[in-house]
Amino acid sequence: MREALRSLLALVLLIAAGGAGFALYQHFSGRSGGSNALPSHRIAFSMPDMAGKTRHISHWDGKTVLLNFWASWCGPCRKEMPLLIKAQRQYGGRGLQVIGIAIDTPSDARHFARSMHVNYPVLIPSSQQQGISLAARYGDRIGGLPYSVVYRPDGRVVGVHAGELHRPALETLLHKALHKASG
Amino acid sequence: MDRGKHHHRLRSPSAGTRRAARALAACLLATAATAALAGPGLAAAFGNGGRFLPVNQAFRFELVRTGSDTYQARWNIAPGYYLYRHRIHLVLAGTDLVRSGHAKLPPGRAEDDPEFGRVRIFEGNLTVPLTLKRTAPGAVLTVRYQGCARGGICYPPQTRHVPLGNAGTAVRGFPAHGHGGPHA
Repeated sequence: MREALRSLLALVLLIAAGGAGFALYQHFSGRSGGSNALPSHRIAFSMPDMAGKTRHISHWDGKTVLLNFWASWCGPCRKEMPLLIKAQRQYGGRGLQVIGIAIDTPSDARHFARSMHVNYPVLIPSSQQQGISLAARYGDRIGGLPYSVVYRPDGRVVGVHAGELHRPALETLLHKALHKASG
Repeated sequence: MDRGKHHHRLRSPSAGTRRAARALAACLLATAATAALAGPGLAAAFGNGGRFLPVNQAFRFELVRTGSDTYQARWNIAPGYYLYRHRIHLVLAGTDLVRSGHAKLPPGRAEDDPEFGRVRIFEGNLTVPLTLKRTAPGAVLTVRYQGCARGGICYPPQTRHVPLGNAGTAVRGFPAHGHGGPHA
């Protein structure tokens, strides 16, 4: 009887520990970059695009959005750009919309994006600080670039990534977003 | 005799203690296993979250006065981080001291950057001696620099305004280290 009670107690403890582990996962899920309080939903903002037309982020509501903070002076940003172009081509039909946010001068951002034949919109903050502040609100606590944020069509943020994206990390982020979006 | 028993107790925990320890270990294991199996998020959060230093820690800067009209601009660059030589500017009264030849940067290390081609970078400690004669009262040195982490991120260009007469204090926002801040 005593042994049975002990076993039951051990089982309860293990279940509780498992629950704690799952709660930890829920808490940190999707935060692959150093983040402050990561917002649960997309943040509202407006910025000019490369043509100078002001765009509100709500324009892309209903899409799975990958926001990519980048700059032409940032080597890893330039290096990951072909991967983002490919992702837009590959997953655009499934509702993915990559949006670049250039922490850069408009002329440098335009020049580099055009030279790369970027196939997604690039927004250019009115100041470097505006772009950095937005990235910080998305959890980029050190202000490093590149920094990527993925959210679902309903605006729910599913993940962030600090640093250069490589295919496995990108696939994981997109799988999570696109799977949930279609689920 | 009593002491012997006491030592024996210390060396060999009771069966109850052992069971409790085993239960605790099992709980910790279960917590970690569940968190790890629940998805990549948690592992990624811990694996990547603290991976990069804030820019002020990656590149610690200070301006030190070494004589009546001599200074040293110093950077302590954390291991795994580097500054681009061509992105360092020291501007006084509208004149870029580096471009005008009033400040001489060390050659740095040549590196083939996959995106920018042949560049020169600084790692470790960087000291740039400056001779600033007949500076106006209240003169401010503007320091600009930009660098990256080997791990795959770059920091936005940094700008620091350092009043030359700011005696005895390190640059605001930077922890004083090494030889301390500028002094009169």
